[in-house]
Amino acid sequence: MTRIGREVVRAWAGSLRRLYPPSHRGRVGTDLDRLLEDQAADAAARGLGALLGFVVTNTVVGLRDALLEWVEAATRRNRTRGGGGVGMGSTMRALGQVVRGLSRRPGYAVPVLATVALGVGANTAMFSVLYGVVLRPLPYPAPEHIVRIHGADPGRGERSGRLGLPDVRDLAERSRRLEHVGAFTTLPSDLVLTGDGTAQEVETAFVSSGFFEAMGTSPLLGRALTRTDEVGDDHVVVVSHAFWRQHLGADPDAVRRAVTLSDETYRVVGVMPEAFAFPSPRTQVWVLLSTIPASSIPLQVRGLKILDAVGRVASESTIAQAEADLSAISASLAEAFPDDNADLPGIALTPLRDSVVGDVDRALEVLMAAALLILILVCANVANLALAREAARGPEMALRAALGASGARRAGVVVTESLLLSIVGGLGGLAIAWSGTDLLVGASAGTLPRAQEIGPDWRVATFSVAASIVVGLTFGLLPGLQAAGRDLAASLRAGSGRTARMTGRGTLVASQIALSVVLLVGSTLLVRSLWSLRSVDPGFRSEGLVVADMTFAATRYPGRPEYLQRWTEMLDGLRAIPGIEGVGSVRRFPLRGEGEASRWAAPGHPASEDDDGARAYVLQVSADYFRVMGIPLVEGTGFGASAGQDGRNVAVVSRSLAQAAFPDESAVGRPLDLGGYAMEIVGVVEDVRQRELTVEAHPTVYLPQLLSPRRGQAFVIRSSRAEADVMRDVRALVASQDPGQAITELAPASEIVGKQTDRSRFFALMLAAFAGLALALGAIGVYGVVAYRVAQRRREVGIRVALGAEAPDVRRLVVGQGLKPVAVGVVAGLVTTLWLVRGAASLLFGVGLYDPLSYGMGVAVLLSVAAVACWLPARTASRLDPVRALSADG
Amino acid sequence: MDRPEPEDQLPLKAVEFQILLALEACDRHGYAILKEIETATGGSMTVRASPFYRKLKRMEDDGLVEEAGERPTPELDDQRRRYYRLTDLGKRVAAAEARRLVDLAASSQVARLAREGSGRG
Repeated sequence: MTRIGREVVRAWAGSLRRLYPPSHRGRVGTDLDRLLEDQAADAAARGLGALLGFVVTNTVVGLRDALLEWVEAATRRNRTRGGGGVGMGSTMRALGQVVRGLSRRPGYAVPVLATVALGVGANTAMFSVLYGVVLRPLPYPAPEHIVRIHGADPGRGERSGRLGLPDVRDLAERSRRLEHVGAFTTLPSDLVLTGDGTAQEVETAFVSSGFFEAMGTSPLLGRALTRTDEVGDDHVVVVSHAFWRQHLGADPDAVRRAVTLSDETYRVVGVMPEAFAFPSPRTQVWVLLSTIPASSIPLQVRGLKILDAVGRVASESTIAQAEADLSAISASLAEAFPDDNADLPGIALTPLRDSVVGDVDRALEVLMAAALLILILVCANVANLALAREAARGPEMALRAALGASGARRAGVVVTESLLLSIVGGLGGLAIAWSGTDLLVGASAGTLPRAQEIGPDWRVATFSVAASIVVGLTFGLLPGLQAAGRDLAASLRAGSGRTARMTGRGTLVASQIALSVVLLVGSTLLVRSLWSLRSVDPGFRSEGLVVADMTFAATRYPGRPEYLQRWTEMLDGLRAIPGIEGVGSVRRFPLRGEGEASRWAAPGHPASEDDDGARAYVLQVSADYFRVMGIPLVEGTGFGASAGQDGRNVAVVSRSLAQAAFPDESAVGRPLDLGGYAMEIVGVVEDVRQRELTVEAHPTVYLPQLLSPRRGQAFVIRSSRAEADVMRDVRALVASQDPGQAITELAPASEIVGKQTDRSRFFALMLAAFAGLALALGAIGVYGVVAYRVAQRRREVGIRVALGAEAPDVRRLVVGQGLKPVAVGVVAGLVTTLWLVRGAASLLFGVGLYDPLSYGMGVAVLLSVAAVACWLPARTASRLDPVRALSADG
Repeated sequence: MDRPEPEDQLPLKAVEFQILLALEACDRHGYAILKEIETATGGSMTVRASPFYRKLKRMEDDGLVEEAGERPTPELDDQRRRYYRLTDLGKRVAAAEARRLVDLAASSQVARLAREGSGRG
């Protein structure tokens, strides 16, 4: 171990020893420290993991034993005092005493219980989400070896391209770094289950034979899909656990049964375990890609890049090695098939965990940190309450001490009391967490991945119990030590011991305020981010718009004339649906990715070689697209109905491209070089956020679909009818025109936009809730201290009033003194926030890390609440009747 | 007060007996006791620090062990350590427990069970 490591271990061992009651500590002495240090050195020699494990287990065991010793210390003294009885009997009696003492003072016990329950509950719920989503390994064997395989183009920074089936086969055959490779897609329309009376769509994953081997999970019943199934004529299906329960009656012999899916008979060969949730937790059936007729989707065509893939990296290889290996194979494929593969000459591997969890982990870590701050606040708050109570009991305890109760015994009682309260409160917190977790998952509105894996679990319960014990020890030890070390004479004089104690409480309040500032400013920043996210104009009107994504397969519509014919029919058919105001189409719907990229150049603005700005997104659109989407035309005419057919190479460009190419002059009528083709600009439209809501619009060129047709188009349908009705009609129309046509995605545009803000809304809401809790706890803390001080100083205030002090003077005095620790806390909190905020940078949008308004608002809210908390006791003080105050005792 | 009888303390918990055995050879500090137990049991018995001291304290209360007055030579000593040794009672209890175990091992039933156990394994 390093010298610093030894120092840390030494400090840890020392503090562990200090948890014990003095009697035990005196007997064991520092031998315990030495032993822990020696054992830590032994563990460190076995590795960092062993050392960490050693420290954690010994901390937990040590906490438990310290607790037991305190309880025993308290009961033993009971016995020597002649309390009678031995063992459990006396322990129960001591506990009974504590419980009776507490129930006589519900004004103390109830707020403590509520605070602890809230703090532990919030933490436990948050921890179970963090654990389920981020920390828990994926429920597949050796999940760290499973990767998602994507086509990549390092030049463009593209790492999420899809693959063709022949690509996947070649990668599987040639790679020595991957053990198994499987392709899958959910793009074709779901299969329809018939047979038990009604027809119903079941969420379908189409997979290749390597898919289940790559995932590594064995079916619960039967077997997975194999290579033999791919060549056989038999239709076979593997079903999910939910499907098995729902449609097969959880029949243990289900693997011999058959189901009818989209009019074909499928033999059930396997049932997956409940935890298997890939590609989606909602997937109900897995069928082979080979069951898709080539006439519907020609998967054997290399150029048809619609597949996702997963692979299992060989155990002796790293992901980086596998990526290099696959990239080399992919590069040779790009050379062999330049037409099909030159676009995506590389391969990118993403660990499956990253692709499932996404970028949510940072946000959850920030929320977990916020929850831990709340727990610290809870500790400070209950410690404050306990100190106030101890102070109030001061004369009584001093009397007891004078009658012979030792300091250690009094401390033991106080600590037992604190632990009891915190454990009961912690159980309440567990109950809160139980329901709170569901609430939390519900509030996340589907933005949390792996939500089905979040749930109560022994780790979560352990966390909760540990949290409440920590709370109990923290808030019990401080007043406990105070009770033990009380200066008898000073307490009986009721006053002189107060100054030091008040300083301690003032510090507690200041730290509470500081933590509240951190949470308040943090949540204000997040709320402001959400606000700016929601006010981002995506560049089109999403209300009343439905999007239907389709690809016209080459097998059914082999050439350009055929699929353009089909495209026209689709537009006409959609227009004929009653109540439809307009129909257009685009290569890729906004917020769904950039589409193709092409170099552009304009007179006076030559194409540069490496500048990303010199690439424009190219989108093929129908003539009506801009009108239907509500994208304003800034200049020029847009496309006429015959655009693309009259021999003119016309293009509409986005405002940002027009400004880059022709600053200070009109772009309409000017030439544009697009990847070597001479285009004529006929219009300029407003910028549209094509990639994501949070990403600035990129220069974009729109071409008429008839000029440069593409098989894949997103149809946009505007109507004032209910979106659900429109979607139903669209589905019926597509089925009637061509039953084999898959709709890749059908959704209201508002949902597509909304999804981009859902997550931010969830995190802002969560942090705001934590901040609210912090504010409430901080206010209670301030109020408690000020009110207590007023009560203690009744005489002094009475004298001041008797000597002629006016009510406003008294109020000013009380509020001024109360706000002093608040001011200290605000400054400390601001400094802490400025230091911590960089960790949350990735969660913010459209608001600076050091946004003065957020900081100002956070502080203002806190100060006003603190002022009210001071004002209430100040008002009481100013109404004090001097006669009664002076005649009262103490 | 009656002279305490070693038999009153029997049977000992396995850990207690191991602690007595460790101290029977020589006086040791806490870490050395645990090390000795680990060696003697081939690593099959591991005791964590805080329960160990609770146990040790209890054995001290029962008069089986006590703090050793003598410390090792100054150059080997560490002031933070505390050395323990067996009391007379501790020695007698250890001996009584040893006799009890030997008697137990001599019983034909125990021998038969042990044979069956190893036969299956």
